Amino acid sequence: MAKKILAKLLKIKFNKENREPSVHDSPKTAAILLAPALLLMTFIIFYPLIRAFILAFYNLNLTQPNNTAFVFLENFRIMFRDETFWVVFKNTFIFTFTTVSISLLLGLIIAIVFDQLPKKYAGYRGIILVPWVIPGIVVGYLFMYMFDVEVGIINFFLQKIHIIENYLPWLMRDKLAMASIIIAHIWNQTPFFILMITAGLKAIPRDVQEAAYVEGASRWQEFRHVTLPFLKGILVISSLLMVIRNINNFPIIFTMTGGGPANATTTAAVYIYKIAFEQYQLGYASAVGVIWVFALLALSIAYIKSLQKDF
Amino acid sequence: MTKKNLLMLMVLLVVFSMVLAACAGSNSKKEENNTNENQNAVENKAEVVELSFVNWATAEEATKARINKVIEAFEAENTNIKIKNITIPFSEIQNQLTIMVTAGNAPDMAQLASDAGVSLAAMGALAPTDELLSKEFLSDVSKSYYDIGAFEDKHYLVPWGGGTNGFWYNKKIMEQAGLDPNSPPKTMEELNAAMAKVKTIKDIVPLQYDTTARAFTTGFQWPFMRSFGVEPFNRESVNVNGMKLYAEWLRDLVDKGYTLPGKKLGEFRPLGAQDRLAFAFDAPFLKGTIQSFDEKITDEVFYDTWGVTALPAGIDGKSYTVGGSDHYTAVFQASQHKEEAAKFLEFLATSDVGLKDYVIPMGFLPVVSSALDRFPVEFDNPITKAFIKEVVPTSVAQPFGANYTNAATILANSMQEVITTSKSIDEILDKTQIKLEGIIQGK
Amino acid sequence: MIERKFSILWYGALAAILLFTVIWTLFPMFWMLVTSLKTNLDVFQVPPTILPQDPSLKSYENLIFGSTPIYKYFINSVITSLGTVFISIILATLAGYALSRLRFRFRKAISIGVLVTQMFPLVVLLIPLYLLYVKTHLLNTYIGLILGFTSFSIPFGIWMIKGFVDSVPIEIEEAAMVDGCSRFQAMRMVVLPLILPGIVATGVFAFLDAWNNLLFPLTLVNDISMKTLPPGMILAFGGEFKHDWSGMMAASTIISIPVVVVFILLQRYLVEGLTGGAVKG
Repeated sequence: MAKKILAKLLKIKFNKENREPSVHDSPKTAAILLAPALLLMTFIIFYPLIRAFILAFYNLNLTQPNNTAFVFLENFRIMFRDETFWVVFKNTFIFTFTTVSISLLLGLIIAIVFDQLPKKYAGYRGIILVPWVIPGIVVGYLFMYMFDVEVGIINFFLQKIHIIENYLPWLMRDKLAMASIIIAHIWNQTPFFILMITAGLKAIPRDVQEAAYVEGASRWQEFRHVTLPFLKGILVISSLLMVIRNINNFPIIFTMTGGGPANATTTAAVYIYKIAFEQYQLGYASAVGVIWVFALLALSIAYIKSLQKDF
Repeated sequence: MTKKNLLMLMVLLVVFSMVLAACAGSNSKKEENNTNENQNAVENKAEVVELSFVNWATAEEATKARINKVIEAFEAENTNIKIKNITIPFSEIQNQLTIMVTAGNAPDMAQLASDAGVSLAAMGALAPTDELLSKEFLSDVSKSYYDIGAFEDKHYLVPWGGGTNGFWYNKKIMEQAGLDPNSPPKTMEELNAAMAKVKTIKDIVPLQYDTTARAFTTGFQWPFMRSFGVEPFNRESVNVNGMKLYAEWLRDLVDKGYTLPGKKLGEFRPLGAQDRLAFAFDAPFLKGTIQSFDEKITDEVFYDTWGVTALPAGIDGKSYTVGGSDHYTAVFQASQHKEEAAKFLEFLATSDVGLKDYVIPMGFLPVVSSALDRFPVEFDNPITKAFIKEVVPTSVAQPFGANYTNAATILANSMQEVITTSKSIDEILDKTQIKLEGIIQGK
Repeated sequence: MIERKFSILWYGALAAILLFTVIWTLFPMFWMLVTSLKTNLDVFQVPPTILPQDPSLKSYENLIFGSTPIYKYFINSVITSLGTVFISIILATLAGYALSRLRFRFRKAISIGVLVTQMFPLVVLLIPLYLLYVKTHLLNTYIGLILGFTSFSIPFGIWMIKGFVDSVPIEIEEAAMVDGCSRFQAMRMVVLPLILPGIVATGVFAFLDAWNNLLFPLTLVNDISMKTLPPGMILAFGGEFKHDWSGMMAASTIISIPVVVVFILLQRYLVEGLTGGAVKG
């Protein structure tokens, strides 16, 4: 976007792909510039990734290092027969889908409403974006406190307005616990969508909107036929990005419910962490991880495709 | 505007760090002094051994002061040894120690619960104690406590304080509910009836019951499970699918609001201090803990309010309990100073200071037989007497070992599933049965 | 400019949504702050009081002077976060520039590869990383933790910088080079000032991620004195007595203040970074 604006400003048309390489372009320069980052990434990303694929075929338990053995597909066999794995799969899907779709919807509504405000209030938008940078562990503890069965303000409030009769054990009932973690994440992530969608709204040419108004389009029609098509790209990209982020999400769930009660809120990242660092079964955890890497890879390809389409 | 903002950010950050540094300053100065003293000591004695001691006893202010007193007395007696406390909360300690050991980062010694201790011993992380401890200590230590730390015919754990769980009843609340305060429930049926009566009083929690998903939870629930006729698993076999009666009782307990689901055992103790808890299943140090919340609860007030006895009898007419909150210590295999460490651990359990300043005021049961003779007055109180006479004899052992933590965690998770879902109990138990068979019988 | 007229209904709906948004966003943070100023006796009060009956800083005092070495955690957090910012900015700027400007084989493959690494579940990488750290003695070190943190911020930063460099017309740079600058001089004197917002944004994201990260310090550090704030908080409040809500909220407030300050002062860069560079390649 910045590129488009800049291009307009400078009235220069440039096309990066057809650009003539300059004399100074040499693989050597590229190597010098890229080497530090790539070396570091090899050490902390690529090597561990390859090692994880190898570990997936091993039985490696941290507490019994002498029993390490190559077991080929045994880990995967156990995994697919393990009911918990499928529970986690389902949880991750429900959690991710609900969180992203509700945050997206809320973000869309709020961004549009704030866009209607006079310009001088724009500065206040910063305040409603703050939840986005609050550390996950703080969000987790804060919502654990607000959802507490004994002193939680949410129970108190709901009872006060007669929605519930008795205090609910929010974090100790399977479906309520899932709802609780979803609410905490929506609070945390809606600002991201507000931010992205606001940027998208700003890029809609004013004259198109005005033309729609002059032709007598209702607000809904304007939204449906002007705003939404312009926003489509940004909505798809930010949703995909957040789907990926949520599958990997760890701190809020870990602190709020620890994946409980009885695995009802255990999602992929929490599950892998627990197998690896609470049960110490590194081989099995890697096998579960590998499956998720493939699932995420599919999503990443969709993400990259939609990025390229947008440009 | 950018520059102004950046400047402001810098100023704010600097101020913030200075405030923190100032707060930290007072502490670090103290540390400096300490290190100076250490250095002096080094110069004087040439050889000062520093022993790291991982524990949860220093995690709370009340117990921290007491334990530090014992440590100071030990260091005064043994000027060549310094103890370095490393505080880790109870729930995290086993996991942290396991990780530390596998990373080659083990401490010299640690405070441990019995199950965690045997698990670490099975990993090969702990040093066997039979040769390490002194003859006097070994002949004085109570055999029933010492044997719990056995793994494959060697001992690994040093008993510190006895924490058998007993059945506590609040006489005031019982009276309020129209129950006879001097006759606590004798059977599970009577307990159910009593809880129903107590429940009618506003803001009272009838029963302290740990339903978290920790291995510790299974230890806590074990005597109740036994009361309903089943030992969930032992080293050879799994009997989870026979636990239907227990699971139904548990589900009922939560559905009827007789306990707060998902709370740790310790989280009920403040309720006890506010007289909002009718029945508890807790260690003898419940007394010390409750008193630490409220100074007004003197010994006299406490004995007037609380009584303790064996758990109401189960379907076979017998009462059960486990040493759920026994506190042990252990020396790590990787320690360079095992003998000094063993000396310190003995000191904790049996020295006069250790008994007078920690074991007795906390309300632990003594783990050495000479303690009762040395402090006859201090141990002569209704709670300790009831524990020794009525509760401890009902103790049963649990199948600690390499697989225990794993199996116990899974079982605790299943019990959580019983109380947090509407799934059929048979289904939950059958699934758990298969999982545990996989772990214990290697299926 | 033509503006739509505001009908009463439309105006009412807007106001309602605004009100909801503000309460929904601010109430949890307000509640955190209020609880941190209450005594625990106050916290357990039924019905709860909206404002503390007698506000006290006791919880903060307990945190700072009590048995939790929170000042140590704080210092560890500052060191590792700033270290991450430093390394990420330098490496991401160099690499991002190269991927945007230079032409070489595998350019596209590397670009996509960098993008994909942002999607990997870090927890999977953590397992081999843990074993590697045990072997290389990087457990319980600042540098180990910083390297771990950069596994997110470097790929993310590279793409952000690449996006920003893409938006700088190459003609400007070529003009400088025609005037006798070397590529590195042109980069330093022409490109860097223009992409400064992107560099700041990279730094801010690196800081936020490192400061908020729980997973890495939870596993790659098992020496208590080397923990950062998030795992330190688990150690402080994961104990047998979870009832110290006031203390927990006080610690939450302390952890949040630096990131909120950074965000409020630098949010312009963040917005620009996200919408201009990172997300929209």
